[in-house]
Amino acid sequence: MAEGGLIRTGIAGLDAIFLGGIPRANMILVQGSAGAGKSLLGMEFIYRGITDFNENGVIVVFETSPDKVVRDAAEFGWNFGELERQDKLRIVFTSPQVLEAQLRSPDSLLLEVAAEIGARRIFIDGIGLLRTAPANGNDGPNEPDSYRELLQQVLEALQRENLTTMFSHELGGRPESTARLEIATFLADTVIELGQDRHTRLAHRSVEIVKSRGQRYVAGRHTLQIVSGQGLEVFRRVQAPDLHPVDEPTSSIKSSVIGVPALDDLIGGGFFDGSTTMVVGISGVGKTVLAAQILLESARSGKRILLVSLDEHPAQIIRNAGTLGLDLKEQMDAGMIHIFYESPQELEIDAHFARIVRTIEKFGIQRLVIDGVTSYSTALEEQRMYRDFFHALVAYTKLHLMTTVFNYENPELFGISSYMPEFPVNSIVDNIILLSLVELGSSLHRSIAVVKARGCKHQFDTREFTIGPGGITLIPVDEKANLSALSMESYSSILSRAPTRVSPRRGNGEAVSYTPSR
Amino acid sequence: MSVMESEQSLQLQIRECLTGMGIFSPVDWDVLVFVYRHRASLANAEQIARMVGYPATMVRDSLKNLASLKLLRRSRASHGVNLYQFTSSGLDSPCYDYFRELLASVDNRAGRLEIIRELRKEAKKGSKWLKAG
Repeated sequence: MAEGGLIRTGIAGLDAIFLGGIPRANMILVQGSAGAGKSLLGMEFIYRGITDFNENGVIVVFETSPDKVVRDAAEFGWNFGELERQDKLRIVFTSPQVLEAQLRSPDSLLLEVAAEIGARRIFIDGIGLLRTAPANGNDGPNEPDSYRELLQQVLEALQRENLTTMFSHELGGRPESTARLEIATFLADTVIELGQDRHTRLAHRSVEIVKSRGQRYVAGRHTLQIVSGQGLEVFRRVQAPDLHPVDEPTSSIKSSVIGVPALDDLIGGGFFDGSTTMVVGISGVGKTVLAAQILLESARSGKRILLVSLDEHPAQIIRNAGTLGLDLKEQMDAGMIHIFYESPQELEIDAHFARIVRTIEKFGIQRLVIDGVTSYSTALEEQRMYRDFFHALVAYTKLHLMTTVFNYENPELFGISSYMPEFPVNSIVDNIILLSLVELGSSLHRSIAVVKARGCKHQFDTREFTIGPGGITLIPVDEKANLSALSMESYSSILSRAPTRVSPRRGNGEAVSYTPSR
Repeated sequence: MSVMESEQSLQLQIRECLTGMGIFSPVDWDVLVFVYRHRASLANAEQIARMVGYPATMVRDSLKNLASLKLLRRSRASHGVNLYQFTSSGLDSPCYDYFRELLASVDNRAGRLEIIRELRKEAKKGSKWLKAG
């Protein structure tokens, strides 16, 4: 459908899931339980219509005092009083019975008010309160049918006036309420359902397009947030399929990502641009240090990079990196390094994903580090959400040829029996780097191994590294002789949690094994 | 300023505002505030009466009176209802200033009681005149 035939709600993120807007003639029903945000959505629909699209509007309320509507709107910076004074908005307080009579009447005062201000939009809050005149003093068994007729007449009248109509309907528990809602859902062209999902003690708002005649839209439940001083914001479901598919780009350019030649050699000369790498290791092994090095190397090579963390506040990340002489602050000030921190408490994954994407697009980010993936699994209750987020992020970064590094904290102290998160991602990760702690004699050593590097001829050696000024440094093979402990080459089975010393060959060529006591 | 002086000052201020607006009965005041708070009310006197808690006849008279004072605008009737809108006769009018002052006074209990006391006093005077007449 041509964009001219669509009406934009102006509500942040909502038009995007409608793929641009709602067909102009559609009657829009907003349904949801009390407190789901129906009235707010209707108010913002009218407000954005006036301020963003020059379409004046009328709000009809039955139960709420219009004064409170004006007060509540002011919380978001919407000056309804001023819009009324400018004859761009009318808030009309009436009863459902009066509304019904008015809309069926050719000399309707309500429609006169709408015409006076040249209204193009109308929001009726609480259409479910419409009642037919009781035949025997109470609603009879045919009541829902009459309601259908009544609602049809009301909607017809509004359509005749060329008003784009949005009306709210409360989800009720009573059978007659459910029957009424079913009728309204059937008659409406577009149905938006607002929800409030409970997760233990948390409540998350959601929005779903149940139907919308004459258009395609992004199906499923998306996150809805009430943003202070702004209004509503819809965040597209992270794993929602892209309805405008594009060919995925591929790059054959290899770049140094860590900036340490020895590490690049280990990887096979660097990572391909747009590749995805998982760095796996126990807490304290050096994943975040490696991340800091990746940040600096990216900045040095002129590629803007973003670090996303749920664990550490930017100030702490900068301080810790600074102790190793890794000056992130300077590059942050230069706009080459960006850090995005969000608390894992009450994390709403659709919104979080949208904020990452927004940051990437705002600053032209070319590389991304997520430190670390494990925090998402603790922040999100459902593994499905966690997996969706991961897949969506990989899909996004691949589409934009962004080199991405995920840090994954493995819970095992020595050795690694599984280097994947709780769900298998092997297929979408291009490179896997294992960082491990190895107990040799009575001391702990750090080791690094590249177990997967798609399209790269990487080394299969387990190498020892140290953390010091400048970050991670691989211990050169020829320097090991100077170390007090035996070099790693003197052991086998390091990654399998059973380092076994291989003694120098005896004169007869027979090797002797020795397993150190723990 | 002593407590007594302060009360007297409030009393004078309220009296001046009410007189300036031409409001002399509690019904007029309550109906006016209702219409103001409801911006544009598409209703009849009976429906408004149910909300403000006065008999419908009194509210009907009050709506007429307020319309004649140009404090509210009443549309033509349609299906037994009118559209009532607060007018304030323009933002710069002294009448609107009086109304704003009174609304500020009813924000606290002392102010509310004082307005009621003042209006009751006026209502009594009115009924005496009616009896005498």
